[in-house]
Amino acid sequence: MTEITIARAGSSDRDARLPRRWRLPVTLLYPLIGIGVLLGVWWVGGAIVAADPDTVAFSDFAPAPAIAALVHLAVSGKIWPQAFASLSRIGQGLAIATLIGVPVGIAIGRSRAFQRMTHVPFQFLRMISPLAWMPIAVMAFATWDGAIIFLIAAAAVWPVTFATANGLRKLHPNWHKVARNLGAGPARMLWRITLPAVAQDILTGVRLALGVAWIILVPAEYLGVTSGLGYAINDARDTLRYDNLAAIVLFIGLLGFAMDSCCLALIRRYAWHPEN
Amino acid sequence: MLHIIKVEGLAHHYGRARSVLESVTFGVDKGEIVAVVGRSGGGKSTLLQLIAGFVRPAAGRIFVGGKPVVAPTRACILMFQEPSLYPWMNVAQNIAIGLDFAGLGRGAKPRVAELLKLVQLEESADTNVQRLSGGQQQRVAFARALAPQPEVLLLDEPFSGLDPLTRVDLQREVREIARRLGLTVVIVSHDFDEAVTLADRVLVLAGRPGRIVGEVAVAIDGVRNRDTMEFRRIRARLADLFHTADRSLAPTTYAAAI
Repeated sequence: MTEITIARAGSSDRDARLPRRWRLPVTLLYPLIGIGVLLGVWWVGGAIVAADPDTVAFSDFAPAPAIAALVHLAVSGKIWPQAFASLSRIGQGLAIATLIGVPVGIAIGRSRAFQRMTHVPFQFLRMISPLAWMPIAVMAFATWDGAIIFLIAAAAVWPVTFATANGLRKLHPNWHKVARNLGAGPARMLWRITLPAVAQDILTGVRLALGVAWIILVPAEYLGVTSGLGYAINDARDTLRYDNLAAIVLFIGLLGFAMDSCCLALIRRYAWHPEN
Repeated sequence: MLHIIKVEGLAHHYGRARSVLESVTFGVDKGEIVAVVGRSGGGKSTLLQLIAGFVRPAAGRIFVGGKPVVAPTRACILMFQEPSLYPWMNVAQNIAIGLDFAGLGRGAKPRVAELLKLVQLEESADTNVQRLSGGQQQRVAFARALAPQPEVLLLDEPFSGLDPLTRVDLQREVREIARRLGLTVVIVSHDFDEAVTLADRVLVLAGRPGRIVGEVAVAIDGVRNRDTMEFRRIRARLADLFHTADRSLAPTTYAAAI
């Protein structure tokens, strides 16, 4: 399982020793340097593209036209319906993945027999690229939306399942015994002990799943739908609006970052492991 | 007098290879504090797990409050060697969890306040349990075990991970609280001092598989000081009983080969 750090970016014991008035600037300094380097590379790339007569047609990929296009798309409101359509698909796909992944993960973590029974089929299925299901999904679902949500769920279910199972394995064996001794029935055991104990692991799985879902979303929205950020990218390419194309890519990055930050905040809220 | 705990001809083994207990028979009276001493790995913890109903015995019968033990119940609470607290909860929530399981969540506050006072943790009610010392954590575990008002409390070496000073303090507190509440307690330990400090009667578990080879009454009034003659005499008697029996009991039911 991929480890995701949830340490506060830029904060450390050394930062804590700084005078209070220096802490915020120092905390912001490193991310700002990173963003600056990224913008610099993008700007240099744009300048190189613009300087070459063979590629000058793509010069709108540069930061200035892209950021201007993003502002225009946001202010004119054109990007929001597309963003809402994509977020709705991501949300539904993740919800399905979580509703399947958490109980299956709990079953794997609690039952050695179930873990052994499912190990080979799950590892086999996990290794199939979700995009490989695309033709089957298109045939199996009546709507394009249904197919896209299926693809997102098929990709997102594995991180949630394995993170939950991994969390269950780390639980103190006495926690369930104590609860049983104190009279917990299966429902209370689940809500009061099991789920809070693995909440952090489930949310870490959801965070990983979110990253995978974003990766799947754009190519999946190249399917027959007429809404969504993937569709908008395809449309911008077809109409040669490269500034819009770059703006939508930038928007996808910003939206993904915002959602990841929300996940991180939730993980911190439910984290109880001593190392956190 | 009717025993509140009755263990008759108890035997247990893990797989076919390792027999841990054999022909264990004893009774515990209501309100009595009984210690079972024996070596580590000698079947003490298994004995408590069997009495608590977590494990079904290979042979023999166990009764708690006149009823055969078939599964864990709130009437007989087992407190483990580690506090096993829920780290996502604070002190008060940990203590209240048993009351919540019993459907008494709404009326739990006065009972929790009473228990916090009993274990001297009133100031720490809202503190996350991970911030407490080992001794404080065991106090919370003790309060949590007392919350559902069990008839019997089973203690599986709960003080073994603590520093000596905290350990002695807690042993005295547990004895005093159990006395005050009229609680029946069975504690298992490998520490003769702990057994004499806490118990009214000490059972000696020796041999492999373990069996009860003798018992010693601890008739010391008031605070039990380890430096008194009486304390030392009882401790020496226990040690003598244990070592004599342990040497004479040859293994009888080990598998020939694994």
